[in-house]
Amino acid sequence: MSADDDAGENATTDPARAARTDSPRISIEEVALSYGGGEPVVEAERLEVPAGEITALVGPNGSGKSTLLKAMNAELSPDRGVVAFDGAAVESYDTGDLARRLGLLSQEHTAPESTTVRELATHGRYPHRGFFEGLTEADYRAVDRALERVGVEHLADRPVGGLSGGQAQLAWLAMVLAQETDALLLDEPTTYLDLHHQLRVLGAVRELNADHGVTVCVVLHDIGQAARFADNLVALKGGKPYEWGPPDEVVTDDLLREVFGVVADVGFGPEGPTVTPRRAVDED
Amino acid sequence: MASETGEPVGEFDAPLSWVDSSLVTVALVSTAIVVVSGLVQVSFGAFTMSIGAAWAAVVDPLVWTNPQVLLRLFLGEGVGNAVAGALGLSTAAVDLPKETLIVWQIRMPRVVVGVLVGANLAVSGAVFQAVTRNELASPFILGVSAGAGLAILLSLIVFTGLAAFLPLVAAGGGAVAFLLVYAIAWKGGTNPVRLVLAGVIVSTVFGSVQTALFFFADDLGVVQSAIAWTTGSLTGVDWEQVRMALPWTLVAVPLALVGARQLNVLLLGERTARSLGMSVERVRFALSAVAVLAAGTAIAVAGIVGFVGLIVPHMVRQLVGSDYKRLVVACVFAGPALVTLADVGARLALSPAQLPVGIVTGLIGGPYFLYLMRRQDGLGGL
Repeated sequence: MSADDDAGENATTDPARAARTDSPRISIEEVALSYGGGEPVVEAERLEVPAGEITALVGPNGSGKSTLLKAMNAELSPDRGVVAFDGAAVESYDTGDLARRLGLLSQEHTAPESTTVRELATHGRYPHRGFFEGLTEADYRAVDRALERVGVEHLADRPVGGLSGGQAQLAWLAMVLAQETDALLLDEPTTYLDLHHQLRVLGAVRELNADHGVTVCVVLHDIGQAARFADNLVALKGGKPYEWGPPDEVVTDDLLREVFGVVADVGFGPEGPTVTPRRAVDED
Repeated sequence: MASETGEPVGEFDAPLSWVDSSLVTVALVSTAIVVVSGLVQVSFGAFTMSIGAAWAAVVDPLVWTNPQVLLRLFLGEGVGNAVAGALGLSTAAVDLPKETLIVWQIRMPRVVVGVLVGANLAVSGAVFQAVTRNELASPFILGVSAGAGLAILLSLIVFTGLAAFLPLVAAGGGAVAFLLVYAIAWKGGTNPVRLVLAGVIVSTVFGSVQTALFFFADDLGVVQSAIAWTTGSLTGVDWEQVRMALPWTLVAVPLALVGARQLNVLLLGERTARSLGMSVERVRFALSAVAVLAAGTAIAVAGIVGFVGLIVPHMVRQLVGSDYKRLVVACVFAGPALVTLADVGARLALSPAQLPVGIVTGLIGGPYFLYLMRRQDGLGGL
């Protein structure tokens, strides 16, 4: 598809940041998550986001995908169990230290309208700057790299208030990439975007992963898209992991019926399983 | 301070790339307004002298070539001489002509205090708007002014020993009111409408207590000065007020400038700010404290001059954009311009009677608030 190529053109490999062999992994052990000490929203015995790979969290609405992501970002502390980032409990990290290693693309996109794309991307350097420090040469380079990788250099001086939803998402992605972390969390990065921009976002993340071995954990709505894009899938149902592993093991007729409530044909294409939904399963 | 120069404050990003032509324009135009307003202001007073004589007194070389004169005015007799001595300047007494003495001793403080008050209120409003992510926020709307005013009245009428610490007392009262407003508005987060309503509630209650205090005042003079205080007035201010406000201004304004980057990141929303490594609660608390201090400083010397903190950041945002580096610097210039201009209006509107400047800013501010409210469907989100 041409959109994919489009994103691919702008990729450059920076030898200074050669592929990391020491990317962090995120692992979850015996975790229960709840809001305000109520009923657990998510319970998981063991889950793993392998180092240097792309893992997609999939599941129907309310299955706990975003909650799980919050726990990985230390926004929600587990009632029991441990969410470990690179071997240590994610909550034990200093906020600044964590921000230099783990980036989050949230769905909250509230910037003043007159902020330019470049200014927005520059905010990604926040965790790397001391309280009184100005921007260094390295900061400017990181921002340029991020804009280029996402393919929004031509929008750099445009205010974000005037961008389309898809362009804005790319601008926010540029901010997170300018953070230059070795792990990324993406909360439904393709929801509400047109197909072109969905592929631009995923393409940029895929390349970043290929070039630098960045560990990625992404919440995706579309199981077919997740199957094509991710190295691993975690399917959640009612707050519990139903199945996890490589897409061709996870995506089955049974899973689609049990977890997503749809009858679908699962085929096997060159890029992993393909999903063709047929109809919704009748609820009883 | 703000009226001195159009040069940017160069303390953060090494290249001053963020200074753009709109910021320079705002600074220059504001400075011009301050200078013109100041010249008008010093032309009037009880002592009859021609406008020409008054302006000649402003530029009197005896003042400008003897730094110890200015130091003594700004810092007080004792400290001024000490600083002049420390800098190796002369501390000799200077014989000033009568006109110069009147203009500099009596008329100039009103302009200087107006500048300080404008800068503090504008910066305070700008910071509050970012901290609460609310375009309608300002010390007046958020109840900070009412809290500070009440604290000042208490120290004027009840705890008379605290008069020397008025800016701190005012900031304390403002902080209490702000915490109250925040607590009332808090419901798993706040939103612009709830904050404004909570501000109205707290302001109303504090206003009632203020009025009640009048009954406990012993003599009419205290009541009159108290009323002048709650409406906000620059009439009769002295170098004493300059000396009171200047140090706190020099603390609060630079802190707001240094905090500009934090404010920018706060505007990206709590979740994003946090994922960028900010300790959101701590930063928000610290910056609120700066804003309360700035507001308290202004209120301690001029009383409650309403709406400056609302109007100035908003107008400036239309001109220089929402980058807080530019916004705060522009507020430091535009705030004084609004207050000194409004004070000229307060003096001339019903001449020879003088209005408190707070009435003029209220008359401008009310409709402006209405305009902000009607302009958009979603109220005040920033």
